[in-house]
This record gives sequence, structure tokens and C-alpha cells, in this order.
Amino acid sequence: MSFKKRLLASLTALLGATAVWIPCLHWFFRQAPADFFQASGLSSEARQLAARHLNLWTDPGLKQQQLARMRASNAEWDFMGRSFLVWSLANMGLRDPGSRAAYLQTIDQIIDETLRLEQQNGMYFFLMPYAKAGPYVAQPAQSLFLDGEIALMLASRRIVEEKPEYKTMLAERLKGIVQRFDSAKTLVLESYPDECWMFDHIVALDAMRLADFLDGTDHSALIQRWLQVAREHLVHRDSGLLISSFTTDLRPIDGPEGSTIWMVAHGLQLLDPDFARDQYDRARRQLGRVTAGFGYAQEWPASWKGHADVDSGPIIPGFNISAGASGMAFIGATAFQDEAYLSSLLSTIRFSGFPSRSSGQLKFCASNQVGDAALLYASTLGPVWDKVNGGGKAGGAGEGVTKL
Amino acid sequence: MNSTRRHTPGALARALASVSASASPLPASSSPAAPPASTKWWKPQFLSARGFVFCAVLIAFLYAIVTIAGLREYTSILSGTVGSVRFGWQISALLGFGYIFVYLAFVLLAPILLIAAVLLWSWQKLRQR
Repeated sequence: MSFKKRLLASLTALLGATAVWIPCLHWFFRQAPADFFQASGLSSEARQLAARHLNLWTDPGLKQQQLARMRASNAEWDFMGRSFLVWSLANMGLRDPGSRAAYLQTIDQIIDETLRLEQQNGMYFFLMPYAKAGPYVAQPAQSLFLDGEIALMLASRRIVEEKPEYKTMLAERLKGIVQRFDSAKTLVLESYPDECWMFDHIVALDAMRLADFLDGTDHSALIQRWLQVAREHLVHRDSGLLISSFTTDLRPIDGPEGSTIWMVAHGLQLLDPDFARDQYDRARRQLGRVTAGFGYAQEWPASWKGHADVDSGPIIPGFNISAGASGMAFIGATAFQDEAYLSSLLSTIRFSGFPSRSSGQLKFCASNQVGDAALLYASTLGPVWDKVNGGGKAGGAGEGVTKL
Repeated sequence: MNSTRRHTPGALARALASVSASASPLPASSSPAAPPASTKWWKPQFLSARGFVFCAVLIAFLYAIVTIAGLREYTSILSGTVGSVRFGWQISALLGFGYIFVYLAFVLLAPILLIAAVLLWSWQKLRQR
């Protein structure tokens, strides 16, 4: 047989083999959604992910090593890893009353250390260096990124079980945020100098909603006013999605982003369920993708051109897969009970997240502590929101848990 | 001195040789222009069923090595996180992307090569009939 015929036969065989293998590949990475997220109790993967994080917080050497790796890239991740872990443990405390004491102990340890670091080093400790590049428009300089997430940590902890000193801290933190909202002409607050983030606003408003439930305060007028501003000025016209960042005079900086919108949609569930569902559906249509059985998310809709940054993570060309957006898509998929999308996302993370299991602990090597904490949150979310939306009595375990 | 030539093929080599002998659709005698088919397992014929199987096994071997070496940890480069603060960005990225490259070869390319080998082998059998 001539070389040409041999080449043709081999290439045909390779093409045929590719056509057979690629569509089948995802079957080897399939995982039942129930292994990741359960309506009540804790899934096996949630337990394993949590075990890894709880171990980090009881092994100072390991924790230091992990935090140093993240801080080498982004000091924000150190902070957000704490936030996502506290929010997860609060949900776990409601899902698993038998282990509540252990979860609360770790929550308190994280909150106390975070507040101590903030007090000792100032807010810049948890911000990226460009926070010092210019002056904040509103003085004295405050970051809604820190205040909102700390407030939601304190409130989530108190949803599980009351802690009087945290009640005072939460009230003071929210009082400061409300005062700044009242002073802001456009009703938006900075996280970085003249840079406001949708994510941070939604988290702060969620903290207010939790505080209203816990303490009988009423921030509903502020929340409604803010949502009105968002609908009128912060929605990208072509996609109908909320933009990610903007200036204090409401000019867009970043457009709609997958690394933001999934968590924003989940946060909106506590503030305006219809708006939340609309945002999720739009994000799913314009950012969520499933190719050959593998689910992922793009960072930008077709109607917006952006560039890769620390939030999006590396963008895989061709498919425009964003690691950051795909990780956060887990939160959207579980929060909005999108089982088909969650299943495809699970295939992807088993294929490309490089899971590593040992001693009952799970981590994803391709991720980092904040990424794994966000996944833990996706696998446990529900009870805290349900308790507030359901209007149950504060201070006890919630019964209604999001169904998937 | 080429010590490889004195190597005695083991079970894997014999299996490869056996696959090659029956699987290659390209017998040397079929065309005067074709190069003679190699009978040495470590020198598989280019673009043959045996060659495909040999490559798949080689990839699996490489994957085993990088996994045992613990390079999986360095894939954190995908999330923009340094694999090891001590090694720094460049070495961590090199190790991480090296692992990812071999991993993708193992899960994507190796099965394709094996399926292609089966297809070529089947085609050869059909031709012989």
C-alpha cells in the first residue's frame, strides 16, 4: 500500500475514533447532582469539601500555606474565601444540627480573625494594590466589598444561633453602610476608588435583609430604591443583564460578567425573586453553555467585549470558557434548581477541576481555597435564604430548604 | 553501543507485537514502495495500528509518571494561583501546564488512538476476506 493510502486510512480511522470518543467522553465524568447538592441534609461532596476547609482552619501551617498562595495573586481571595466559607458553614449549621456547634466554632474563629486583621492592618489588607492608586470619591475611604461581606458573615452566623456581641457589630456595620448610602447622590458605594461593584451591593443589601429578619429593623425602602436605580441605570441594554462594575456617577466600567452575575442572581432571590429569576434565565441563555455534555460559562455575553482579568481567570479561546464564571455558575445552577445545567457543570469539574480526595477530604487542584469555598457554598446554599424568605423564627434551624 | 537492541521484550512488548502482526493494514508486501514493517515493538511503523497502540501506552506511562510526581497540585495555575510559593510562578506554571498537557493527551488522545487502532485492525480484517 502506498504511503498516501496508508495516510488516508490512518487519518480516516483517527477521525472516526474522534467522532466516537468525544461525544462519549462526558459519560466517564458524569456525576449525580445529588452527590453534590441535596434538598435536605448534606451531600457527600459537601461534607468532603467542608472537611478540607475545617482542616485548614485547625492546621495553622496548612492555612498559612494556602493563604500565601492566594495572596500571591490576589489579597481579595483571602477575604472572599473566608466569606464563602462562613456563609457555607451557616447553611450547614441549619442543614446538619448535629454538627452545628463545630461549624459555629469555626465561623466565630474566622470572623474574629478577619475583624482583627482588618483592625490591625486596615481595609487595604484585603484589597488589591490599586486600591491605593487614587483617592476614594466618598471620604473617609470605606470599601463596600469589606463591609458588605463582613455584615453578611455576621448576619448569617446569627441566623444559625444568636451571638449578642455580633448583634452590636452587625448593627454598627450596617449603620455605617446606610449613612454612606444616604450621603451618596447616586445611591452607589465604592469598593475601590471610584469603582463600585454589583456583587458587593447585592451582598450588602442581603445583609440588611437578614438584619431586618433578625432584629426587626426595616431597610426595605432603601433596598427598593436601590433596586430601582439598578433597573434604570445598571442594566446592560443589549443583554438585559446587570453590569458588574460602575463609577460613582453610574458609568459602566465592566459590562455583564459571568464571574459576577450568578452570585448576583442568587443574592437577588432575597430581595426581588422575580428580578432574580429574570437575571438567572438571561445569564443561562447568554453565558451558560453545554458542549459535548460538558457545561461551562462564558465571562461575557456576545453583546459585550471584555478582557480577561483576575475575576474571569484564564479564558480558553474558541469556546470562551471562563474558569471564574464557570465556578460561580454552580451557585446559580443550585440556587435556581437547574439540574440539567448543574449536571453538565459537574461533568466539567470532574474532567478539568482535577479533584483530589484523601482522608475524607476533597479539594479541586485546579482551583484554590476561595474557589473551593464557593463550590462548598453552591453545595450547601438554601437554608439561610429560605429561613428569611419563609419568615421562620430567628435563632433556630430552618425547615424549608431549597429543592433541586 | 545500543543496549536497547539487546533488550528482551516483556509481556507488553509481545502483546504489542501480536497486535501489530495481525492489526496492521499495511503489510510491507502490499506495495513495493512501502517501507518494510518493523517487527521491533519499540519501533512501531508510522501510521499503523501498532503505532497507535504504542503511542497510547506511552501516553499512559507519561501520565502515570506526572501523577506519581504530584504535578496535579500545580494545575492551580488554571485559577491564577501559584502552585508553590517556593518555586514561584514560572516553574509552577511549567509544571502545571506540563501536567495538563499530559492529562489531556491521556483522556483525549490515548482513547482516540486505541479506537483508531481497532478501526484500522477491523478494516484490515475486512480487506483480508
